[in-house]
This record gives sequence, C-alpha cells and structure tokens, in this order.
Amino acid sequence: MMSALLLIAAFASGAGPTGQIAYVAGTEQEDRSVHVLDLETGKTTQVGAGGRNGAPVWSPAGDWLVHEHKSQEGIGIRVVRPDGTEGRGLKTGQGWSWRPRWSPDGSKIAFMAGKGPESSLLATDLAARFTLHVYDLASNTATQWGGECPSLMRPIWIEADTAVTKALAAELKLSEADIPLDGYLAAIGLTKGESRLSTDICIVLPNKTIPLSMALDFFKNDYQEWAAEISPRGDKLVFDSNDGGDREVFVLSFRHGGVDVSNHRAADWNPVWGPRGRWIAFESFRSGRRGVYRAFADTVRVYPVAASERYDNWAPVWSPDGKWMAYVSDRTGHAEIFATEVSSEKTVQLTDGDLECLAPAWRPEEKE
Amino acid sequence: MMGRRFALLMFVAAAAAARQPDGALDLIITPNSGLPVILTPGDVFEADLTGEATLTLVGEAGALPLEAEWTERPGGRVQAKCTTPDSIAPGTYALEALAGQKRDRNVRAVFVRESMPTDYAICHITDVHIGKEKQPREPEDAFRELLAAVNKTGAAFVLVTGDITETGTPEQFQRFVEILDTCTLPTFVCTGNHDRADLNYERTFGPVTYMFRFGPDGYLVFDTKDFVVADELGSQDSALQRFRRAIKPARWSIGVTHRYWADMGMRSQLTLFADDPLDALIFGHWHRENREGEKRVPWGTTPVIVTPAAYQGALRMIMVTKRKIAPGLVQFADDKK
Repeated sequence: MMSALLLIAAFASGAGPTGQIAYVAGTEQEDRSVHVLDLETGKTTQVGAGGRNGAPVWSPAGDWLVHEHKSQEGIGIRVVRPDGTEGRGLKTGQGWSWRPRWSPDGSKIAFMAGKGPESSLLATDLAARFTLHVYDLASNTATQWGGECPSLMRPIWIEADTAVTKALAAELKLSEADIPLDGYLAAIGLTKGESRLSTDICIVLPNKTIPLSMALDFFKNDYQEWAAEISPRGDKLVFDSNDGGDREVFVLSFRHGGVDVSNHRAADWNPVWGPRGRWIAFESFRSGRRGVYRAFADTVRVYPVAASERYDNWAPVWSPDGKWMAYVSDRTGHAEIFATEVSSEKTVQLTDGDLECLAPAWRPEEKE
Repeated sequence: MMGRRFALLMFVAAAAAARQPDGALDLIITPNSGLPVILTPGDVFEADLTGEATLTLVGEAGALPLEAEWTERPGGRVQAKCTTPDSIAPGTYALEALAGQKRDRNVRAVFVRESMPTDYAICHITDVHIGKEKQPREPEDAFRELLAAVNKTGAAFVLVTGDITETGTPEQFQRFVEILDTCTLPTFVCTGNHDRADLNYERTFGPVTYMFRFGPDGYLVFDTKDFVVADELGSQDSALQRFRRAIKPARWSIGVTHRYWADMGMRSQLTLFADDPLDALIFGHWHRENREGEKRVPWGTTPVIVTPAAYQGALRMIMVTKRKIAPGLVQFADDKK
C-alpha cells in the first residue's frame, strides 16, 4: 500500500520510473522471498517460495525470473513467471547450485555448483571447489562446462557474434567450432598462486577453460578480479580488481587495452553496464560510506547518483531506457529500494515497510 | 555521605530497569555487556540509543553524569558522543539512561583503565551452546566455571566468538547474559550459526558487525551466522570495508568471527584477506583447535587461531605484543582448579 502511495506521488509530480522491479524482501536470510513491484500501479506480488531466496535475475525477454532458494541440499535454483505462476525448482543434480545467469536467448541457465559448507583452510581444496554448469530448459538437463579447470565462480554469458568473441578467438586461437552459437561463458577462476589463492578471469567453453592471462598481458599478474560483466554491445569487459593497491573498476577494450575508470583511493567495486554500454554504474566508498556512482566508460569522469556520509547505498541497476537507476539504501534505518532519475537527480522511494528489501532487478523491455 | 547513599540507591533501583523483561536491549543499544567500551579517563565514547536521554555512568564509587553531544541516525536512533571526566576512577561502570519515566541500564558497559598497554593478553572462548542437551555437563555450569577461570587470567578482555546459544531462543540468550555478567573482565561477543533465529541476537547485543580499538590495535568483529555466509546482498559488505579501512592504521588489525567458510561471500573475503589482509583471524565453530596445515586463510597471509568449545571447558590466551600475535596453548577450566 505504501509503495503505491509513494509511486502515485512520484507520478503526480512528474514522470516517475516505469516497468517492474524484482527484489528480495525479508527480516533475515531465512525468510527472504522474491517479490515483483509494478512501478505504475505500486502493486507488489510475492513470487518467491521456501525462504532463503537469492537475488532475482530476469530472462532476456523479461518473461521469467530465476533465483536461488532453500532446497533439500541447502541452496537450489528456481524459475518462476513474474506473476508468481509456474514456479519450479530445477533439478540440477548438484549440491549447492547458485549464481544463476540466463543465456542470451533465454534457453539456458548457467550456474555455479559446490558441495555445500566447507571449513577446509587448504588452498588446494578451495581452488578445486566450484564448478560451472549449464541447465538446458528444453531438455531439463544440466551439463558441466569447462573441462579440466580450477574453481569457477560467478558465470556471465558472452554472445557468439560480438566484437569480444572475435578478439578472443584471435588471441586465444579458437576455431569457430570451439564457440557455441548460442553463447559461451566468462567466469572468475580461483587459482592457486605461488603462495596463495588468486583469481583469473576465464573464458569457459563446454569442454575447456582458458584464463585470459594466457593471452592478454593485462591479466598476467597476481591481482584478484571480481564482478566481471560484458558490455551490452559485446565489445568491452568491466570488472573490479585490486591492481594498483586498492580496489578499482577497470574497463577492458580488447582493441585499446584496460583503463581504471574509478580511479580513487577509496574502494570501488561492483560495476554494472548501462543499457547502451556507454555508462557504468558502480559502488564507491569515496564519500566515506558506500555510495552509487556512474562513470562514462570512455572518459573516466565520475558522477554521484546516491552518496552520503551518514548511510549506505548499493546494488545499482539501470532502467531499460537508462534514465533511472534503482538501488538499495539504508537511509531510513533499514534497507529499502529507491530510484533516482539520472539527469535530474530526482529520487523516489519504491519500497516502504518493515522488511529489508534488497537486490533490485529491473525487468527488461521486450525486444521487437 | 548523603550523595553516596543517593547514588547507591539509584544503583539498586536502576538494577531492576536493565534490559527488557525478555532480556532484549531497551533504550541503550550500545555499549552493552557484549559490546562494551574500554577507555582511559578523559576519553570520548559513542553510545547508540533509541532516543535522547540523560546519561550517567554508575560504578562502585557512585554515579557520574555525562555530557553528551547528540546526533540523529537513520531509522530514528540517536548517537551520543560522551566525554568521560578526567577524574573518573578506573573500574567497571554501568551506563544508565533516563528519558522521562523510562529508565534503562546496561551493566558492564564501560570499563575505565588507568592507561592502555602496548603488550597485553586476551582470552578467547567460543561455542558456549546454552541449551545444548545430552552433554556430560550442562553448558551453563561449564560456562559459569569457565568464566570463574577467565576472571583469574588477568586478560585485558575476553572474546566470545559465537554459538552462544544452541537454538537462539530468547530464554537461552537471557541465560547466557546472566552468566556472562559474572565475568569481571570486558567481554566482546559475536554471533554464530546457532544464534540466527528471529534476530534474537540483535535484540540482545545489537550490531552483528562492529569494530573496536584497544591500545594500538584494531579489532573487526563480523557476522557469519547466516546459512549462506556474507551473501553480498545486505549491508555487511559495507561495514566490513568501512571498518577494515578504519583499523588499517592500527598496529595490528585482528578479525574476530564465529567461523571461516570457504564458500562465504567473495566480496567479504577479498576485503578481509586479499585487498588488505587482516593480521590474524580468531574464530571457533569447529569445537577443536586448528591443526598442522590449518594455519592460514587460503588467501595467503592471515594466520588463524581456533579454540575448542567453551562447553568442553576450553579457553585460550593470546598474547598481543609489538612483535606478534601469539596464541597460547588451549587450557581447560579443570586445569585451573
């Protein structure tokens, strides 16, 4: 009810954000459930089930959601329609299944799998711990990808017909037969360095894994990367890394090399591409607290979107038209979802209640 | 004389007003007996409350009113910046708040020392498991006996690293607090996976992630109670980054938690062990100590110190000096009889 009033007020004062936003809400992790908020009506529908729901991820067409949920083994993957119908857990055949991501055509879901809680401190155990799998929704079967490989985490899809693919194929000497037509994966590989664990961004094909450090000098180091994302146009890779002493956001163009776009002594992390691949949103502690900022990928100019010295803002997500950014803020005392219009900085509160509201995901527009 | 009697009367009357009937925190959130402040005369400390109030430190020598600068915090809370008088005597103090008719009192909240040491010992106990059944000894009896032994160690403070209850019920937390308050030393508590029910830990001790300074060193206490540890959705990553940076200038930056988990959120692991590695990580959960080959977090440089369970009677002394953080051998309360 309160969300509806807030949004009506936003619309009354001028155009507000439109579309639908999926998010998780709960008092704590055990009772978190996925919800979908309609921004025009303010109506919220609970679509998650079973508790311990993870961040919702929209299919490319916006007709499905996938999210982690409590399963018999601990954590599983579930798909559901935005109206809450047709919800089902996917039989992945794995113990813990998590971090699901849709393939570009929406026919498959990549996820990482592990055995569940592990208290080992041995680097060799951790470096062999996580595997990547692809679930085919048509045949309801899951296949492990990557061949013989280190632990692979946080998969993202790369379309076959992109500038990145062409560049990688040339650098890594891949043939057309190596690259599946419906896309392939990039992931963070956990590697055992000389004295400690490190990471490597890897290309993951059905039967092999190739660390980018094998081909690109930029990655021939012992720094730790995380949160890699491919641009919507498929021509650049963004990620955060502790290369340079503290954590920074880097954009890698396969033609022009890597650039530190955040460039600040405070930690910067979790980059998110804008819908047209020109802007990047990311989180930074440059104001003292965690805040949301945006940077133009080519000029490294950084602009605040939601930043304060008194509270945190995080988890930015762009609207499909790039005009708004939704994010989590604890300015009210607990986590709620807000949206800011990028050009005017007008801000509206989208959720308002007793539950912690987290992990917003804006529904994509249907492509013609 | 009259003033002293009046102060003592206040002390007695106020005892009944400590915490809510179910043991939950009331007007004063922090400091409390699981998250105290340790300071020297003249130091400033911060208190978090649900509303502005008249604040007083109450100790053996009587009651000392505090001057406070108030700041609003998100969610309707307020923070008081309090300056302790230069003349305050070393000792253990309760923090008392009076707001209209409402009175609250957190015992063992403020510990005043003559000075801060550069070399000192801390005591690590873990996994108290109040409510655990079918044990050779009732965990409450084991905990009581253990704290009697802890009181004789001369430690600067005590770390109690989680699984303080068996199933996280309010009754178990209440029983834990009652026994905890028999400890004469400052006690810093954190939550464990057994303590996760219904935010009862937060109602009893407040924040699950916090930092404190002791002398030249910084301590970062973080939360690993959730099923999916540090899952990157909530606010813990923010706190970890902020606190890690805040204690970076310290001589030693020491992590305190219930358990290290290989699957725990990567962002938290990168912050604590890769980008700016902690100098040590102290935890429990295993109900045993760490063995050969279990010396460091897999990210490379952070050594770990793991202590067996309190319900088994175990404690460990850790020496913190300018040269090193040195864990002593595990001791058992029985040894000290």
